[in-house]
Amino acid sequence: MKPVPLFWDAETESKRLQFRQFAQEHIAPHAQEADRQEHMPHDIIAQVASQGLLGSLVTSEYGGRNDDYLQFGLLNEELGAACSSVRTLLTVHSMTVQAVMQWGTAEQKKKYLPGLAQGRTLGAFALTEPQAGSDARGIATSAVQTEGGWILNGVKRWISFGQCADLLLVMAAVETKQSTPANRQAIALLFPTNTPGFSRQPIKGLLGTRASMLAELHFNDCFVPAENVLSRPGFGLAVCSSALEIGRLSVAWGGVGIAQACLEASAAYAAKRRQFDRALAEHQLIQAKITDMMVAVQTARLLCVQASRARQAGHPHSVLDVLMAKYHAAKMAQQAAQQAVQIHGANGCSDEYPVSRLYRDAKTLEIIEGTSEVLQGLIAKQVRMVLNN
Amino acid sequence: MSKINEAVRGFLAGLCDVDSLSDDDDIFAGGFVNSLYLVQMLNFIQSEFSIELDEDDYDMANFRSLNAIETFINEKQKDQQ
Repeated sequence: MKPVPLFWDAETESKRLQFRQFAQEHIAPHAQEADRQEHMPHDIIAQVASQGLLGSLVTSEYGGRNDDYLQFGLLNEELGAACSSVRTLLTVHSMTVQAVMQWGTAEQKKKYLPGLAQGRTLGAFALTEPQAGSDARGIATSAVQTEGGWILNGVKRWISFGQCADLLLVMAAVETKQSTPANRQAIALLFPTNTPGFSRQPIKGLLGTRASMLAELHFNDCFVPAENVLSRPGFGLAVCSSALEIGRLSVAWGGVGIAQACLEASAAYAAKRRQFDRALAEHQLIQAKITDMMVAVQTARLLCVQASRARQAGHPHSVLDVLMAKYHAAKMAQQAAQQAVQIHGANGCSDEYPVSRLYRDAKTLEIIEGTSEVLQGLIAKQVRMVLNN
Repeated sequence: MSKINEAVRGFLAGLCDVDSLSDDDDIFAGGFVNSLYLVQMLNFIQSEFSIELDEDDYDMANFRSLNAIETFINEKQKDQQ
């Protein structure tokens, strides 16, 4: 039988199959234990790096894979299906990569991209603070200009892979004698974590993506050389916004991966498990749940394909397409995981089955890189643009 | 009104109220465009006018007003011809 036409070409499908094989063979078998230990083993990170996957968005001139945004999305789906914490690694690393690729000087690209592409340098995104999350304009971490660079002071919290990142994309507020909370400009800095004055504290006891090596980061009079500033004054929030767009695209595809994993686990369980002399799969109420999951996964995947294509084309609507994909995929993943646990019954409440982890991981997707409520606000503000065009 | 001005106004109309926006108004200071939407505007300028931005172009002076944007696009198009 001829295969159903895909939403992507043969080269992309070949890459997807490679991503899937790698994720299922080398990542998925360790996901439960990483979740239990709340720790990402170095070996796993090394394996992802050795495949060049951390350089997905880096162009070939800097040693990257030069994947397009659809291929990058499919990589996130496959890693997300295997382990959301590994997908999180790719998310925050790629946010740093994207910022350097889009906003970096020739010197910054030459200095940082080869290491980021090969995974010798792990990147992470440091925006959120104890008192500032979704509101990037409310950041309190200060950058004061000094001879040859900037002095950074402040605290960042909930930073994924903050425990082990080598290079942070830090958002700070420029503080001058004239600045007030209302007029402070944001600045984006590339911050090597071996800088004196920097320290980090692991955060444990998380609900989901528990092996994401979250940390609280402390900057105490850290000197950042002027050449580490990304882009020009006034563009700090634009750097932040474009990094968040990549983060949201990555998380959206990761949500599709979680839901696909829930669907596969549920279908397999329902076929095997017997109740009332019949396989669960033969009960109509279970069939209804599996049908809803199948349709939901595919609709979210299509939104993600659209967002990736818009982003690849550099279309101004890509911002909106990514917002919608992330909002929908996160919600859909949470619903799919909820149904998967229900289908598994008591077994779904045990960590012997992956669906309980998928359920917890799915919930976090509605919070990270913009809560669903923040995204609803941002999407609503763009409705006029859609109607005008 | 030039075609560039008309196109940029048309784009901004999707984000803010452009009726009271004059060609020299500071679109950021005036609150017409939230800087979070700056990326979206840069994408629009690149795709609509077939120009490629490089690191030297990221200067707020190029994007501060409708007149500044038009001057920048005209110069960029000449450079890339």
